[in-house]
This record gives sequence, C-alpha cells and structure tokens, in this order.
Amino acid sequence: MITLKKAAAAVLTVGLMAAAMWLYTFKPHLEDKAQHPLMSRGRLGAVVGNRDFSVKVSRVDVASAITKPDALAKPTVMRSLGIFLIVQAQIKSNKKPFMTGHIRLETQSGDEYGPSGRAAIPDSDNEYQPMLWGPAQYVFEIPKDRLAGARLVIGSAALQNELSAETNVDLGLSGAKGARLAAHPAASYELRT
Amino acid sequence: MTYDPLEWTVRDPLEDTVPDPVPRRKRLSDGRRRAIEVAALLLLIPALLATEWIDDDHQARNWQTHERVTVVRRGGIATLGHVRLRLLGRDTTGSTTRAATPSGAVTLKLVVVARPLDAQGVKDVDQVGYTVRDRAGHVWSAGGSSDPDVKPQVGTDGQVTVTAQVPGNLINTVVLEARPGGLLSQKAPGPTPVLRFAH
Repeated sequence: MITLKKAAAAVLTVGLMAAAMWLYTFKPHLEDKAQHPLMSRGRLGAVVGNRDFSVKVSRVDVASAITKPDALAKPTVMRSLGIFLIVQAQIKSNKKPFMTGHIRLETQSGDEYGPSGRAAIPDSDNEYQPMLWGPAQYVFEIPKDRLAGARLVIGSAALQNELSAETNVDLGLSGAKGARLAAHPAASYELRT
Repeated sequence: MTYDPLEWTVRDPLEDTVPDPVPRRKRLSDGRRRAIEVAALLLLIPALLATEWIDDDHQARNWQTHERVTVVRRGGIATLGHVRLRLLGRDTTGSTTRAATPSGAVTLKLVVVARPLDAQGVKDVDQVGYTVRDRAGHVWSAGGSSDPDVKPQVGTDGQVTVTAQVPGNLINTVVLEARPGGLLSQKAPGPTPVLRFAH
C-alpha cells in the first residue's frame, strides 16, 4: 500500500513538474506581449493620437517610379520592381519634444515593411513639438500584391517600455481601391524636397 | 560484526524502512511544527517582497527622472553646477519662421548671460541644455548659441542666445528652463537640478 502511495506521489510530482515547465514556456510570450506598445487605431484623414503624439495621414500615393528633382542636374528617376507607396502625414507632439521611430507598413497578410531605405529618398526624422503640426513623408517599396489593406504604424524613437504608444492608421487601401491602385499605379511620383 | 550505536543517530529520523531500535519521542509535536512553518512563511513572504521592492527601487534609480526645480525670480542670478546664469531679456516679437518649421510656430529668442565660475565651468557652459515650457507642462526644444569667436573665460560674462519655436499664442507665457545637458547630465546621482526663469 505504501509502495503504491509512493508511486502515485512520484507520478504526481513528475506530472506537476512537467506542467510547471509547460506553463513556463508561456512566460517569454507573456513578457513580450507586456512590452508591446499601446496601440491607437484610426483611418486616413482622421487625427489618431495618444498621450505622447498625434498623427493625421493626409494623403497616400502609389507609383511605380519616383522622381527626385535636382536643381543642377537631370532629375533622378528610381524605378521599383514592385510599387512605391508614399504617405504624407502631419505629426505633433502632445507633451514634450518627440521623435518618431519604429515606422513600418503592416500588410493584410501580416507582413511588415520599413521605409524604402534608398539613400536618395530622405527619411522624415524630424523632432516634433507640442501643439505644432509638422509635416512627415514616408516612402515604402512593396510588392504589388501587398498593397491592399496596408496600414501605417508610427511609434517613438525613445527606448520602449510598457507604456510606449504607437498609432496604427488604416490607409484606406482595402478592397477595390487597393486592387485598382496596385494594378494601375501612377507612372511616377515627384518627391518634394 | 560490531554494533555502532552512533550509526542510528545520524540516520534520517523520518526514514522508516528499518525500525528504529532506539526508542525516542518526537522533538516537536505536529501542531507546534506547523505553527513554526506558518511563522516562517509569514516572515519569508514579506522578506521576498521587500527584497524585490528594494531591488526594483535600485534599478529604477538608474532611470530616475526626478528634477529639483529652482525658480529664479525675474532678473535674478542662479547657479547651475559651475556656471552662473542670468536671463537678460526676451524677444517676443515672434519673427516669421522659416518655411520648414511647422505652421503656427513663431520664433522666441531669449538672451542669457552665462559666467563660468571656474575651469570646469568653462567646459560646462556649452553643455547647458535649454527648453521652454508653459503652465500646462508642455515642453519645447530650445537651442543655445554663443559667439564662436568669444571663448568662455572664468569670471567673465558670456552671452548665449536661446532660440525656440513655440505656438504664437504662447510666446509671451512660456518660461525658460536650463538643466545640465550632454555629458553633464550623467555626472551626479540624485535629482537633476533645473533652473526655471520667471518673467
């Protein structure tokens, strides 16, 4: 009887240890989730804000090439194998000087794209001040079939913590509009410098 | 075969595979043992929580954002580290800003007199960070610039022009703040000293 009890206790102990280890595998995911920034969602044309900053996406263009004017030489034309998505936005800080960061384009399929990274296309890395809307322009280079349903995500350049904030803006590219723009992008988009 | 009477005393008393030849009574009754266990738990759990609290507190000190604000009266002189500062005046005419600046912004200029008190102050004078703020707690970046041809000297007043872009309706109400900037900000532990110049 005692042997049976001991065997049962051993099985129970091993089972509990296995359960504890299984539960422990969730810990990194939970900690990772806790570090995710707090997300504010909005759409094209609307002010999307949080306690740190506000964003208003005013315009979205899709083109298969980008032209960069040059005052002294011929304009530079950059072509893409996919398409360029150019997003014009206004950003203001809500509290203290603020720099944008972790900027990315989220697609419907869950892929994420950073700004194009082409040296000839300048990044909008301005510092934004409270109560003053400042312009921002982001250029993404993506495959044509990733355009529909794309959303712009803007975060902070500062070190992230549990209370960091991000804005997620629906660029209004879902459905027929996205498909039409992907199929017939503008031949060229001229960058404003 | 010899009999070692000590062998039985070093055995685990809870081990019952072999009957204990030495009759002995329990050192602790069950109730008393449980009371001790409960008391130990009651001590250990607060001790664990307190240790974590203290550890977190120590770690949080590295990220402290406490500021010790000194309000300087109008025209008053205040010392920030090894530099003595005085707000000389402000240009609130709100000159038109450049095209690259946000709409609704006007340029505020503030003139500050900075006097290094010693050799360290000569190094520190260019490291002072400036901001302007309103009563609601909004903070705007500001940049200090001085004549590059005039080198700071101990005991000599130098002029620093602080420029900030602020909303036009707040140009007369925002106040200047000075705090250790750059490498200076990493020097001393404890709250960051901040000078707020009233006007």
